[in-house]
Amino acid sequence: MNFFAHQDIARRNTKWLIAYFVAAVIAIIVAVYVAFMAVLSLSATDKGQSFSVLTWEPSIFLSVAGVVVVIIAAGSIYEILRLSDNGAVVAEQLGGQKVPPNTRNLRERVLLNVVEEMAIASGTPVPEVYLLADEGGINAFAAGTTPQNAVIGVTRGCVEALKRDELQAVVAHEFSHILNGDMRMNLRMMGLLHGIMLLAMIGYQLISNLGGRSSRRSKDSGQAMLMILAMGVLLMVIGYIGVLFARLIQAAVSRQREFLADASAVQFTRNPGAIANALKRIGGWADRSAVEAVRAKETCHMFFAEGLGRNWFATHPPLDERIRRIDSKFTGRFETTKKVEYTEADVVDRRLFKLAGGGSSGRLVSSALAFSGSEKSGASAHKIAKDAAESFSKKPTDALSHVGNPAEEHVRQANRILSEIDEDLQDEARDPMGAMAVICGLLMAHSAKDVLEKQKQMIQIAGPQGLIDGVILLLPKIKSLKPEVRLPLVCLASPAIGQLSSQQKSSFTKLVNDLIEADSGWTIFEFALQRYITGRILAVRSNAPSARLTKESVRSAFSQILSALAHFGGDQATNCYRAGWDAYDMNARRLPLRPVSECSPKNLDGAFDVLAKVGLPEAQRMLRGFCTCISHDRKTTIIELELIRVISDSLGCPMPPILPAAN
Amino acid sequence: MLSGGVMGLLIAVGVILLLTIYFVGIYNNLVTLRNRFKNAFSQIDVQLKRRYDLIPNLVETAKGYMKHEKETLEAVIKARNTALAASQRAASDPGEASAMQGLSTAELALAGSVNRFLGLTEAYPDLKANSNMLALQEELTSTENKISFARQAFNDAVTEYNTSTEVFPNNIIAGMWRFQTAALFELSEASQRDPVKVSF
Repeated sequence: MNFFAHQDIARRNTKWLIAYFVAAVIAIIVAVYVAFMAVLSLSATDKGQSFSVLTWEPSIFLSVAGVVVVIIAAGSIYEILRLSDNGAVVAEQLGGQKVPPNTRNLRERVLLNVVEEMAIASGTPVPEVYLLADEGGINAFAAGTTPQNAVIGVTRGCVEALKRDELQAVVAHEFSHILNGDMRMNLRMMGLLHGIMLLAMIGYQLISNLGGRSSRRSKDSGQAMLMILAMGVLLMVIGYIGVLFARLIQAAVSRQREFLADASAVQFTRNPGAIANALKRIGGWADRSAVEAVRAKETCHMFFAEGLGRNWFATHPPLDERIRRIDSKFTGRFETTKKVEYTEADVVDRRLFKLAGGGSSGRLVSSALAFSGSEKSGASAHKIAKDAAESFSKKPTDALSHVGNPAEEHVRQANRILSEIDEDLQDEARDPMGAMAVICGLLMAHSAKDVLEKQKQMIQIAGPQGLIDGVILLLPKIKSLKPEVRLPLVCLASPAIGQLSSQQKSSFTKLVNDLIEADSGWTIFEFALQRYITGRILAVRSNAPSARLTKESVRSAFSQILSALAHFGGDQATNCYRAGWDAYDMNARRLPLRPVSECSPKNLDGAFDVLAKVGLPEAQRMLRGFCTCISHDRKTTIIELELIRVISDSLGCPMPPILPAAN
Repeated sequence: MLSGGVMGLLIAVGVILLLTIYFVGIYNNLVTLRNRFKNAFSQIDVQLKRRYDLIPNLVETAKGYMKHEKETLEAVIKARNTALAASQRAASDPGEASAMQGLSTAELALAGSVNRFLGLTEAYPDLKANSNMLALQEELTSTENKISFARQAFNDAVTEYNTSTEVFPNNIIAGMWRFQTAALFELSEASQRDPVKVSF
């Protein structure tokens, strides 16, 4: 099964979920109607009129149905809108604190490094990481709607009790939720739950608001108040029963996704022991996987694990069953878990480890001196990478099968890529100001001399103090970067850019646009990189009018980008174009290859905007077309493969890094 | 027949519903903004710590050359320790007025004594040529720049939060749930606003 199949299943699950919820809502409406009639009949008997609970009153039924639907819909939509902004809101609600991307705390550094590796291995921007510092249990969660706005949260217990490889397995499990589209489903579940909960909340409001106002009451208004009070109690009861059933549904779906995520964690890391050990450690840890936050109940399905209980409301399968699916020899006995101390070997970045020592000054002298030393190690890494680059696998269609589905090789490749990026450059990419310098540098790396001067001046004027110094310092290092590490470097910078205040972000966005426009010479790769920076990292929404997607507009956009790729690939443009089109859709009438002059950034921009909106089955076909096109001439360069990755990302399909060919 | 009662009930439910959603929304928004500025402080904190680590190294390097400036060196270390304590206090509750004031005073004092120290190094050509010293100073300057940038981000976030607690009707919610006004992190003296000048 691949990314597309998993996405498909996630969507089908969501449909079932919605069907169940519709049934639940209908049941609630009927219940509220009966309750309402009961209250009315009570008051009617008081007045001596006869009025039965079972009387069918269509007008009352319709108004009750209307009110209930409006309440649930309003509650759900409100919650979904609020949470769909980004996962950060969810994480903060649970008491999470953002881990600064340039943290020097050792445990936090290990955690961030693990997350960075996994993000680069799966081809997504590095998510922001939140630490639930008050939670002693071992647990973790992922929140957000897309890989671009996802965040990962882990509890303090998680970083204290797990070894590096176990932590990696837990992070891989969470990445599986991100990549398999479970989060959007979770979001809808939370929304609907909140909607039903609102019913109960209103019932509670009715009771508490009226309960206090009992002093002045005539007989008649006392009667009305009693009715409202009774209605409030009934609403509350029905609301909570509804929530109960909604939880049952939610739990049933969630348990299936957990098994899948465990299996994916094994696949990503190819280390079944790690995830099994992480689960065993929960069993042997004093606080287990407990999360105490007030909101934890509504969000329990998002977490990595819950207690040992086996019941209908469990959003996760029982711990021992999860372990047994991975490690069949498990006896069911948990050994007591102790705190783990990290060592230098756990942190990829040696220099940071030294800095992490903190206050003691002696060590720092040596680390500050290590500038020259790190240069040396960088040089040797460079050589290894150079050898690797010679033998890159040249089959882009292989890469296609790994979209949203990284394997252990990709994790190792991510490690290699990270070791290839100069340590100083990595440090800078993790710092807000440094990340800005890195991005400016990437946009300037291939500028002609006069353009470069112009760009430098722009930064001097529009950038914050000191930015230009950083850019000038980093520029030589950025220039020497290989094409395949440019994209990972941008991904690495993503959480640091997220730390900018909204004013800083908007002025930086303006600066980036100016820098891009200053450079008139461009290649399609640079164009794609720029789009990636503005769209994914700065999250600038395209302000082009959103035309309705028609078959024609999608095909024309596809043809536009395919033409650019065909021209980019070399001299056999017509043949490459034709091969690409056939791989996309044999039956569709082929649009003609567009001349080079039509492949302007403006036209491509429009085409990318259309591509960003197509559905996944269409995206899969398009990617097949693009891959076939670049591989048709049997000369596939790394730049072409990287280009495919950027295009793939803009189609909403994160693609892992390209692997070197096996010898 | 009962339509009057039914209508009344429906309207009551509707009004309560809208008000609840509205006020819960305001409350949540305030919480988000408060979290945002608290998180923004951690960015300053990272850079401040980096600088507090750099300064002893700088002094350590200079010690061998500046034998007669013992007092200045000690003053730098003392100011650094005071600032470190102030930053720890501020980090425990970012935006709390007295802690922010304390941090800003300590930071000003530190910047002053570091400036004096760097001014004195001018008189020692050997020290100026020391490669370790050069690297440390460059690091210090870039850290200063990063601090001022992170400070701007923090102040932006605080301002946004404060404005949000003051406008109507947010101020009602803010008053009820004790969303207090947060203090900016300002380095007030105009002359100190620039990062430490390192001129060779």
